[in-house]
Amino acid sequence: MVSKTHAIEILSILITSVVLGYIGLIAGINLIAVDTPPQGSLHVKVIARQFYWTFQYANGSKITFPNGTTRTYPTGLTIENVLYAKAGDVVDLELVSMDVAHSFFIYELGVHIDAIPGHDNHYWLRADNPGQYKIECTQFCGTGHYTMIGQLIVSP
Amino acid sequence: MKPHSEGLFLRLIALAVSLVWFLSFPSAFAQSSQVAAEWALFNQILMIGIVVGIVVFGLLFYAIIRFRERPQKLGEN
Repeated sequence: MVSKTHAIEILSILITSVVLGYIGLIAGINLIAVDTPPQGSLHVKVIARQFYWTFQYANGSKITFPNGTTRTYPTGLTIENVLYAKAGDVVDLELVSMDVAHSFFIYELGVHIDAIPGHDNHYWLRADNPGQYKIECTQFCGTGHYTMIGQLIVSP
Repeated sequence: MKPHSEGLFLRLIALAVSLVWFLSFPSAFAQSSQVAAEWALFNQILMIGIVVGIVVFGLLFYAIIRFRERPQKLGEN
């Protein structure tokens, strides 16, 4: 026969475990959902090198330029230092470095992600307001570190 | 526990479970970047954790105080 005090102890452990387990499950499921970019997002591989950025758009990318034209590139497109996006569209970034550690930083959008040699970092962002945003490297990467500046141009 | 209050208790649990589930979604998915979404999710889970923790541990301490077995006084029995 379990005494009343022991019953309370066992019950409290069980209830706490179930509650924590449930919250952990929700956190895990939502974290996976939040980290997965929505379907149809623009996939861009960002290659960091001393001392510039290269943006490789995936095959079949549809890019909107600041003059309002939209073009589709069946075999992809590679551009240096300028990243084009359309306001409200999700850009799925894949960051990698070819030499030393760099850091991709857009102050206005609160985007800050490392580019590490031999390791791909995935990150998505959505610029809601059209305009030009400065892309900086915030990881000291060599003598030309301060020149490693790119631009994100968001078209309406 | 009476059958009526048992049904009410189960319904309250079901309500709490679904509330926690649905409250954890909205603002995280409305953010404009992955980091912002992760922070929003973290804040939501933290808030839910605090509320649930207060309720669960409040009930637990209440049960401990209410149902504790008092030690027998010397000379009893």
